[in-house]
Amino acid sequence: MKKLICLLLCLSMIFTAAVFGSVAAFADEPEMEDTVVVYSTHSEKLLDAVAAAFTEKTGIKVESINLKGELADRVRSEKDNPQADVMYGGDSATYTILQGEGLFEPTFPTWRDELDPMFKAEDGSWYGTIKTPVLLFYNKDAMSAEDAPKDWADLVLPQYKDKIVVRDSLSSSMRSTICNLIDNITASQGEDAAWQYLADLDANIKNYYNSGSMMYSALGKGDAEISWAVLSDIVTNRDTNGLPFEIIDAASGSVILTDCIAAIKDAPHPNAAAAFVEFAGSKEVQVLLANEFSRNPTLSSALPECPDWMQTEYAALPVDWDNISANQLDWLEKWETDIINADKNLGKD
Amino acid sequence: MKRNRIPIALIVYYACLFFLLAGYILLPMLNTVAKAFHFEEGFTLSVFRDYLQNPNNLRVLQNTATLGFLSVLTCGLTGTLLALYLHFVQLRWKRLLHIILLTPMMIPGVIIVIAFIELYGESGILTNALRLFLRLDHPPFYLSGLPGILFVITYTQYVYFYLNVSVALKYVDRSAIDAAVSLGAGKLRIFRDAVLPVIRPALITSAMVTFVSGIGSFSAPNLIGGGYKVLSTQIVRSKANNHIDIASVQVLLLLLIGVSVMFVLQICRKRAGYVRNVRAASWQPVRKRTLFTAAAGLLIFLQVLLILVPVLGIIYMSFNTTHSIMTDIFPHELTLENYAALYESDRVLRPIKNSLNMSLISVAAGLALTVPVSYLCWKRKDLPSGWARAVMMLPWCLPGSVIGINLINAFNRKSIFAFGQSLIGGYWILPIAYVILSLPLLLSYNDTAMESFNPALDQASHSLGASSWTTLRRLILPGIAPGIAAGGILAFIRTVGEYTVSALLYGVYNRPISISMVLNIHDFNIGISMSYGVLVILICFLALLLLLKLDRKRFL
Amino acid sequence: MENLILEQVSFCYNKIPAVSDISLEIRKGELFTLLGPSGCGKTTLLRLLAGFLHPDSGRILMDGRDLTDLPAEKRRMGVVFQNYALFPQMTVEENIAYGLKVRRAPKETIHEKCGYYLDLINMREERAKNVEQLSGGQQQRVAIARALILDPDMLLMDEPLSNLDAGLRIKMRQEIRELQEKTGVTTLFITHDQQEALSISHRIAVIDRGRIRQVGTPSEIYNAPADAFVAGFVGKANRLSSADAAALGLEAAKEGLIRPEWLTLCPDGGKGLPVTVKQVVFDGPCFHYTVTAPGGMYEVSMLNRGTPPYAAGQHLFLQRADGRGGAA
Repeated sequence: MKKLICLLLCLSMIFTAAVFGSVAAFADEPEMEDTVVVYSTHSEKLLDAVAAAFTEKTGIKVESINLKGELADRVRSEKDNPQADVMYGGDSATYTILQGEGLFEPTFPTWRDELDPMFKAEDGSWYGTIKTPVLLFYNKDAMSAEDAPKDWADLVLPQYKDKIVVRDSLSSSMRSTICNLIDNITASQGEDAAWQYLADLDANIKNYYNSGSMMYSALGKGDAEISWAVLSDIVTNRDTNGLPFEIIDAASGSVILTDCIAAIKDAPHPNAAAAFVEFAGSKEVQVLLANEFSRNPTLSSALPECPDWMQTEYAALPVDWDNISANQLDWLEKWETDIINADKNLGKD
Repeated sequence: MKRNRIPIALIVYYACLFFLLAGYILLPMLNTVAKAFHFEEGFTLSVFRDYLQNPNNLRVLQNTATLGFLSVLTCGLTGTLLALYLHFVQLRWKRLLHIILLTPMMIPGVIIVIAFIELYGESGILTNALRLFLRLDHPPFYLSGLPGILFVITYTQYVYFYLNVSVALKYVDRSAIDAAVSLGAGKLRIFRDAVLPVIRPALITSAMVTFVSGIGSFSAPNLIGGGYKVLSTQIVRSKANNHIDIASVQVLLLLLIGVSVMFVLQICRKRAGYVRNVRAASWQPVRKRTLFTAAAGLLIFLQVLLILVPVLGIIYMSFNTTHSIMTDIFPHELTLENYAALYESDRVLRPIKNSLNMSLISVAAGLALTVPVSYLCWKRKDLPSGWARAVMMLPWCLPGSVIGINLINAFNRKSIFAFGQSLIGGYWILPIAYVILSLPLLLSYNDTAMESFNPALDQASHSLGASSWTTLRRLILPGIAPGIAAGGILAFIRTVGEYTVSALLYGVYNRPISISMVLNIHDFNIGISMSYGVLVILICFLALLLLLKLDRKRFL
Repeated sequence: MENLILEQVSFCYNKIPAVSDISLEIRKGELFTLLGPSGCGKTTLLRLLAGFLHPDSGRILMDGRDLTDLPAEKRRMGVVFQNYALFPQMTVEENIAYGLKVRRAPKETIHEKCGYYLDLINMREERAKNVEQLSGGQQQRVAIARALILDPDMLLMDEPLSNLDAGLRIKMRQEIRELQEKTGVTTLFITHDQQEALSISHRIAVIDRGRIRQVGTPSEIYNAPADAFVAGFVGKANRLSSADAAALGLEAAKEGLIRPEWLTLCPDGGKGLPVTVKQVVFDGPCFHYTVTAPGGMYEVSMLNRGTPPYAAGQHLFLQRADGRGGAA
């Protein structure tokens, strides 16, 4: 009897493997232009919404995954054999770097002329489709407006020790923010001051979170009071989840990132890629994203149809994006190695 | 029969086998080593030097090694004490307790981490409950940093110590203990002289496995480690910064730490030798109730509680809304929406299918590779099979991050080993990685099964006119099938929830459950993440039941 | 089948010689025993014959055919293993039928032959039993039947009785002998038990440390041992000092070897050596006396005729039991 069970087990294993293996093999080689593959940093909900609308309009199926902070690295790794057609999300500094490495295929969507030059690459390699302000905010139930910090420089003050939580170094918005801060402080006070600032900031930071929801959970339950994050997340948690967040319009300006999109060079479905870029950056989609996902548009023509609170312009922290682009990776490596928790021993308190 | 004549079929087989082993295990490793030394520009130690001169990096190394050693300590103490107690004292519900104590083996690490965060983290249910109970402003303790990581590792890894020591204890000769008692030896002495020598090999083997797991642990340090940096997390970060040379250096250092400790332990094990008292009298458990047994009983009770709570916690949370989980101290909004989502959206169901397919494929492929090697090692004891075996066991001391980086470095270009393709981002790279991960496990189970097969039967079959192939087919395979199936099931359980390598290699077509779980947590879909978790636990639990049925001797 | 010939066969395990330069001839239809202490190489020899090992040098010939390079499955040798090596999870009948199934014999043939051999070993009722449920003796028989069913040229038996208890051993060896005589199959029997060897063999080869000491019939081996080893291994032997040997009329050339039962003790003088009884051991049918003689200590075995034995300390005279020997 045992023999029979074992035999059946082996057979069923091999059978399932064969069946699903062949299905997978088919999935590996979809027909040309019936599908477009998108690597992204955006959440699945957002990707699903855009994908559904795209498929409905063009009939092309969308396969997508959210690679978060590792997006750029994955696109780079697949250089010799790209599996994806479109890179969707991530800031302009990163796109500039990848553009320099020759990883993109220029596209020419109809709305490109309408875009402000700072939102696009000259040769059509990439386009900014979402304005992503990263803003300071605090839990207003736990802290009064007077006690709250007013600017980035305030964060290193002693009274904020262990009151700040942030995302960790794998979060793309976190990486961008750090680079913005370094560039901005270096320009006015020199590089040493910038690293000192980060070190002092690290001393005040209670925890670095790999997961955004855990960070918001902590803020919501009062374990920490201050943080910074992308505007859309703050708004979502404030309005949908009911968390008591108050946005700080930093005096020096906030980090205004641009989430971009680009078609990948030597992609498996180049035509579908171009169609997706055209669609994702169009006014129609920008309005959709604004209203359903709280994402600020880059096309001014879309602005009137967006929610009221989006009409507020947040001042940008003055930075040199090319400088950031050039130094980003080295800065991040140094920050990662030397600054984060240089002396801290978490878990002791 | 000429002694050294090798059939053509065998030569072809060995050629294919070594092609695969070289291409997917050996060369990727060497490639990474080369990258660490910048081989393309000529050999240089500059990357190493720069890396090691930075005290923060040395701290990372120190942390990693510390984590490894502490893991061995905590898991060793927990697992061994449990095994001793269950073997020598406990009598009632022995089987049930045994199965419960084996449960952590089937829960993927990443699920445990998430459950632990929700239960024991700073905003966790239990932490908050304790805080309220003790009426404090801040929780008295919570799970993070090194203690948190250790807690998670101990939870999942003590099982190796427990299992191996339990099996070894069966060989403790009761008469030896009786003799010691009659000569006036105290409890500690008895343990040292009669029990320890028998379980020492098991302790060492378990230590080897646990150490490698500890230094290679990724999900715990990544999700709750906070400031405690270890090599596995830093590798991912260096890679994200496109510093593949630094990542390679880190990989190499991780490998060196692992290999050197394994080497030392291997020598210890050879010295410890094997004590097999075949005629050992079976043990009558102590029935006396002393302080010792009471304390040990309490320990077991606590342990069982600790094991069951996360599982129950996950199940409970899967029936709650995300909103409630995130805002209420004690979630209480019950709903079925998390499970409904699984049926409604193919996108949600796909990772489950992916994981199941990939695990099944990799187990089938792994068995196809390891069973012949086991058989050939046993039957022919020739050099090629010995080498093949050695290479297949190599991944045992390679933490998941190392294997992932090796594969990335080797296959992000077109490679002849992939028949002219680059594998990164495609479907197959992940099952391949799973196969590599599973080889040592499968091989050791196959070897055990093979070794327990009576060689005289093989000879008897030959003397009755059967060829080697006929003997293999009719006699050997049916005989060792249960042992092999057991290894296959364990490998299946391990790969279904695997996170470390998957995080490095997954793509559009093969997104596995573990990644989906984490992503859902990130996207504030904690509820859906929990329902994934319950599903995985269910699948693994069924597999575990099958395993217990097949391989009673080892597991019961 | 003609005779089986081994020509100067040698084999080493890891450079340690197990079998050195062995030449043997086993005649058709005989029950030939390899007798020797543990580690003497007899099992190695069996495995060389079976084809599980390949000799380092020398040849194995049967019917003039050279078997040396032939694999085990082609040699037509039946092997009965020390631990029987029955296939677990298979029934008695399935075990016996294995060889025929491998050869893809037609079903009717298999059924018929199985029936015949089941009757031969008296196990027809147990044919459907799982072999793990059988007793030692029953397993023994199934193992033999399994080998015989293929009409092997030769049957090789590796200490088949050593795992049985004493009474069963004696019963089984008789059965084996009867079976062998009935089927007429040439049999090579391995054992370290000299009683077994003497009682069932047609011829015996005594082996020590990889070399053959003597080949002959049981009575030749026992009554005319070739050297001290054979004499001491097969039965007991006294080594008389030359003076004592002469006193009893034995040629010095025979190394003064004489069996205990070929000596006797007499109370009255006349002829023989004066000796003193040191110890008496009683084992039922015999009394074994250890006596101190001028030239050493010797052992004498005398039948228990129901009369009281001699006692320790008694002074007696040592004589040859056959009545010969010189005067005192």
